Amino acid sequence: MSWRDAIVFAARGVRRRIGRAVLTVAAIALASALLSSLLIAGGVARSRVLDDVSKGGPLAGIRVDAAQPVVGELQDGSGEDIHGAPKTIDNAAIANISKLAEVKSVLSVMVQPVLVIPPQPAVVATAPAKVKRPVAVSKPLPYQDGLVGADLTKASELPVTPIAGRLPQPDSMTEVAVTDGYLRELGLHDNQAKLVVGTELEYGSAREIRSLGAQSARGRWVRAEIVGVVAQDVDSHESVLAPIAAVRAARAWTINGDNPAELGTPQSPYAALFVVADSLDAVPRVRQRITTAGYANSAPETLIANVQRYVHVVEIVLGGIGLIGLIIAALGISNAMLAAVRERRREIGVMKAIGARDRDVRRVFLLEASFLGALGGAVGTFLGWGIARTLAAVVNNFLQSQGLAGVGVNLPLRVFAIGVFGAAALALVAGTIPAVRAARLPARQAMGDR
Amino acid sequence: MNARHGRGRRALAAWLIGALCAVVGAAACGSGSNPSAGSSSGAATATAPAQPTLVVIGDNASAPLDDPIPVGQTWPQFFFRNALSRNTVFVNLSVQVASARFALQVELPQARQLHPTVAAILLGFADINEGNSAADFGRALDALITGVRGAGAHTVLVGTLPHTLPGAAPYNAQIAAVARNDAAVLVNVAPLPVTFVRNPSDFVRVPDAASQREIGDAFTAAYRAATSAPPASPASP
Repeated sequence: MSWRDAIVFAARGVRRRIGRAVLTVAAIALASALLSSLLIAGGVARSRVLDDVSKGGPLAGIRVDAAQPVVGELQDGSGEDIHGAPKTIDNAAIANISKLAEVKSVLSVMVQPVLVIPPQPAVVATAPAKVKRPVAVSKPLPYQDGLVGADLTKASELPVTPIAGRLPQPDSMTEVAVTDGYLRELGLHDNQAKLVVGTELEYGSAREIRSLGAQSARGRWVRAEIVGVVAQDVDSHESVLAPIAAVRAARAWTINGDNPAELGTPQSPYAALFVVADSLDAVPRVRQRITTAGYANSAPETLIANVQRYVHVVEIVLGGIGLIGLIIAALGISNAMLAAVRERRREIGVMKAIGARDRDVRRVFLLEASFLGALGGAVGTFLGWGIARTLAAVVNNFLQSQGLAGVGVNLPLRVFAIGVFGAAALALVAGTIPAVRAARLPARQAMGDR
Repeated sequence: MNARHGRGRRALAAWLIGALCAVVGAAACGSGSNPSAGSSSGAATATAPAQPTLVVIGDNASAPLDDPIPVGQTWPQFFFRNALSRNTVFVNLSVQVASARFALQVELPQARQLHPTVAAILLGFADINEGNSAADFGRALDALITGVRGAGAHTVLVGTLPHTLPGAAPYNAQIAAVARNDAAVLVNVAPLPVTFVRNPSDFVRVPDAASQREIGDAFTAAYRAATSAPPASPASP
């Protein structure tokens, strides 16, 4: 019997008992939906928790501060900042750190003190029409802040996550993102982040010009559109994030003045570096090398490693629960196939009488079982994805009401593969005993039963 | 027959165990990845592109005092906010009690360094206070305009003094004449109902908040008329 004939026989078997086939597929689909939704939810929880621990940056990220290291700093893997005396980070230091072994990349960060003028009049004037709740902001006053600059072409290496809008274009001089600190300055809550997106702020860096007399500080003012709100601060005390070229221009205005130190501008050209190690395992070694190079650094590598371990355990448990469901469904397939063998004894007898071998009969039943399993697996995987998306929508509503970044749900290829091929394989396993039993049925006995 | 069945059972058992292990292994092992990502880089080397620059040259009516007028609500800030394109950089060089002569000596050198594309000038309040002659004022103003033009300013706006300021008329005549001669944009502040408040720190009178806005609007309207520039941006208040 050819494969084609076997497929035709298997399809005929399914078609003849369509009700049983549908119920079998439904059982597999439900079990597969459970497995895939649990795996997807586990993956989302993993990335959300790790994002939170690493503040949206790479897991193997290390923050290097413009300060000397202190004793005991390397033993701390919590990510807390422990600083020594100030120390300049310049281009030479960046070049040295970039050359250290197991360093994948280095991203520099500048910070410049500025005076920020929020939108005039209040944000409510430019709030989207659909926002019905009035915004309690009236004539927000200028306030002292820090303008943080980074190379935003490598935004994925920064510990920032947009909760509304997007990050500024890397080469823009007129776009900024703000943190929740800015929202608080305007009297807004974290869940009102969308209100400020699309509004404009002005920031001015100061220069001391002594020849102008007693009031000698003059601002260099720039207007910028707020294109996004980020959940975490690049630096906890700064609330405006801009492309590094904009911050460099602001800093140049100040440091080319008469007394830049008096205006609070840090001596170090760069306030911090974000170093990404080759792997999480390499982080302690890279930190040691950076400390030897003379710079304070911090990274939550211990915390991340612990979280990863716990999350992996949770994923195994969730996968196990889903698998139990799938095995129960496979038993259902086995039961249905055994019933089919009993019902189709005459048909098996006829097949054997006209020359079908044991393996031909076995092949027909295995094909039928694997087809039902694969179909149920595919349907169930998409169903599980839908369930995970629905749950994610509910979770996102809650997170956004708390001013936190939402979660994104997609269907990873591995989950799809596990759902479809795993279900097919289990169905194949479940169908093996009935198939073997059918194959061993002697033709005479099969015909004579009637 | 029995031997055949025995082999079959062993093969079946092995096959079952193998298939089950494959499924369990795929579920447990394929459950995570390290999202560490990034490309190697050194220090960011982006530099600021050239941006248009607005400078304001003025006296106590224009200086960024913050008391009693918040820095964001002075007329130069309104002008910057409402008239200029968003990529413009703005520096207010105004100095309190600066006469036109003082502005020529102190503010102009700073303005030259900035290579402004647009310059806005509002002077005369201090000159009236000090009793300087309108003719001297006119000559200094003329030199100022020539100076900022030489530094690159393609548009120069000069404001007149409000009629509510006693003794403004002769100065306004000089301002109008200089603006005409130097092809500067004349901003007619004179008819505006400008009222004053006293700066508590040094007792200098400055236009109040409402008047600052009106002066800013007058400069904005004049600039737009001179350059046919559209409103600054929809997002600006």
